[in-house]
Amino acid sequence: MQNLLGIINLKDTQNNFQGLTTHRPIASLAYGSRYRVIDFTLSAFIGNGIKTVGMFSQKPYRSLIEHIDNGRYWGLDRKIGGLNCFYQTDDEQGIIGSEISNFYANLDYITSTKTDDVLITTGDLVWNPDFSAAYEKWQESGADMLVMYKTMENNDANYSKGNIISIDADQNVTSFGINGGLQEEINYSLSTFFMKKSLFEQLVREAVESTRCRTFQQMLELKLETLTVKAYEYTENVYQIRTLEGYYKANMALLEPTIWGDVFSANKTAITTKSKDEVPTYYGKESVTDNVLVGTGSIIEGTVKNSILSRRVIIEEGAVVENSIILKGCTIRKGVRLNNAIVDKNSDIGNEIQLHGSSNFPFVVPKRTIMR
Amino acid sequence: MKKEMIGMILAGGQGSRLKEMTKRIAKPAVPFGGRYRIIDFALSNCTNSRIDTIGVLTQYRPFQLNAHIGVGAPWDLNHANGGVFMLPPHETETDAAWYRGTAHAIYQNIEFIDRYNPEYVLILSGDHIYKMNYDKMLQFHKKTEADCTIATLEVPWEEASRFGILNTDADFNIEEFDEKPANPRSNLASMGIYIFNWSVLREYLLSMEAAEMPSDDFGHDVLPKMLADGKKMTAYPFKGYWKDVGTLDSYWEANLDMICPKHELKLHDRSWIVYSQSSDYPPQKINASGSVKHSVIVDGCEISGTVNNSVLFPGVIVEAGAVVEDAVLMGNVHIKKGAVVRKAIVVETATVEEYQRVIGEEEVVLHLGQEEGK
Repeated sequence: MQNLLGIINLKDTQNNFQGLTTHRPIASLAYGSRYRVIDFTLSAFIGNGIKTVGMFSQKPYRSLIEHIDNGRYWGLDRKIGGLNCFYQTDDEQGIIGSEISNFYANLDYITSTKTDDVLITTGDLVWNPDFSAAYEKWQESGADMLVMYKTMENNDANYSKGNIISIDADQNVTSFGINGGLQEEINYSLSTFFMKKSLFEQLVREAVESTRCRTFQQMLELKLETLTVKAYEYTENVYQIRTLEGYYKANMALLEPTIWGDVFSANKTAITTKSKDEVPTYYGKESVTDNVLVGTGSIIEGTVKNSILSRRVIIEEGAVVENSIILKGCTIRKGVRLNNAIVDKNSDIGNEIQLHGSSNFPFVVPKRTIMR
Repeated sequence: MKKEMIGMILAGGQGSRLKEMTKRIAKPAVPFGGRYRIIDFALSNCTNSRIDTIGVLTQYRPFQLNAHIGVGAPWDLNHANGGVFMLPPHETETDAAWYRGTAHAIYQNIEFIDRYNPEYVLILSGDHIYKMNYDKMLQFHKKTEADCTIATLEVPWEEASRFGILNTDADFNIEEFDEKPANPRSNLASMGIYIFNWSVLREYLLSMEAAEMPSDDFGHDVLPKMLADGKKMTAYPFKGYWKDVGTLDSYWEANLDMICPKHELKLHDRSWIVYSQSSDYPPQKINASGSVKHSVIVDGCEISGTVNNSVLFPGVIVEAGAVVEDAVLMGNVHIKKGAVVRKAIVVETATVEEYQRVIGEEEVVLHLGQEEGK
């Protein structure tokens, strides 16, 4: 798949996840104990042999820039191909706005890459896909474009207002729309497309000239009449993180063996992330751990059940953490009880406090909260 | 490009007392402490001491070391100017020889050192586990205006006869080398870490070789000659944890010792990180049936059995009903259901079969898995 340019189209979220995405895009949210969400997209590219990657972001988020660095953790610090990041400036946003103008402003880069085809996707998907079958299907079909989708029951609030498609019996897309909640079963668009690079460039130019669309999705809605678009169903587990509830669920899902297998099984591409040189995790003499994922550098002396702990988390003896997500550098002190909570980075929770959320509405403790 | 001081790490030894563990890898490449290899300590000390040019002298089974160190990026040693260089023995127009000893290995690489024209050369062993600021030692070396400074550690008096002991005056000037003395007069043991003025060492290596004097080894040949010639040699008193894991038992003990987060080595101290190659494993997972007490675990481990007082490396699987106690399980070890592993070291990728018992008695047992029969 060296002939593919991988484009990551990062979307700004309107939903601030009770503060979790105030300082960062969904793509750089900590996820699954040791990852950032975008690691899954970057790793999918590498695993499928895509070595030329352009990341388009509306804002130069610090957490994203620090995490991605020059792409070296994913082997994308290349002379030939490699990772290029494009952050919009104020002027560009002021004139036309968002995704399309960022692509347009950087068309020179897209043209200059030594690839014929484009795979455009987002940075908020948790999956470990093998793209080869979809890519082949698109090439054989002769269609202008192919979109990957997942059929699912329409009962998850995370996917409300997400992108859906309608397809005919021959798997041709007949509409790109928004999930308004009317259907019991939806064909959820994974916002992952294959097309010729020349077509992508042309669409961007047309979109800029018409000024009627700002996002890639709007462009598709506008252009579908003139395009043939095939649909490809992805059958393994995949999560698009869109809401706080979805973020919580997608984390907890990793504790289930089938979902774990779809992402981490030994015959799949390893999900790669930035190395932090943490020490091995210590489990104390009185610790109780039951169905947990734990990051390195942590010290567990208390009780942790059905939870996801990031790196360098300290759980003191006498603390009880259940059904919770504890992000990097947090200390949970003696006597504290957490249930259905998300504790953001570098917080220090003491004073025998008890915090209980629910699985639909986890209790979020913001970054650097000191409760002692 | 001139450097004030460069480091030369001696990493060519087999470490034969570690038995089968070093059958395929050199001792500095032996895994240690859950996610490290022994040489990571010396390399990280260099990085943290702001030494940016390092030669690694390899000889015995160098492949794993080469693969591990690469261009040195994990240690921040991938410098445009300087960096880490693997230095195996090599052929020249006139000569082709293995490294015959520590000093001979340096002699063979005079050209490499000259390329950086350093004032000082730091000679290290890649076999030791410790955290040390070599810059403090260099400041001491400069202050005492010595030609050679040897790092020393106070060892318990009753153990002093097992070490190379340095007898010094009150100002740490070395008066005598006392190799494994029956009746030690001092408890300052040499750590095998030297800082030399390069011009002085260079002169000695060349002239001793030219005169066909025995000059293979620092401890036996070069250092005693310098002392006899009246060169100023001082002992640098180091305080802290230092371990040469020479035998299976001491290796096993040192691993179990560092389980405790309050261990003297202070691995948790983020101001002096021990760096290593990272691996892309999923997060560590403790299943509902798993129990982990007083142990260290890293990425890629999945625990469904019982683990107590043990050190696990990346990718270890402990199935339900298996019991692991007082053990060191290296990378990708698989402990199948019902197995019992106690007082044992299990080497990389080995399997302990269902209901198999691997139990050390007086001495720790080394389990090689399928390799055993070969």
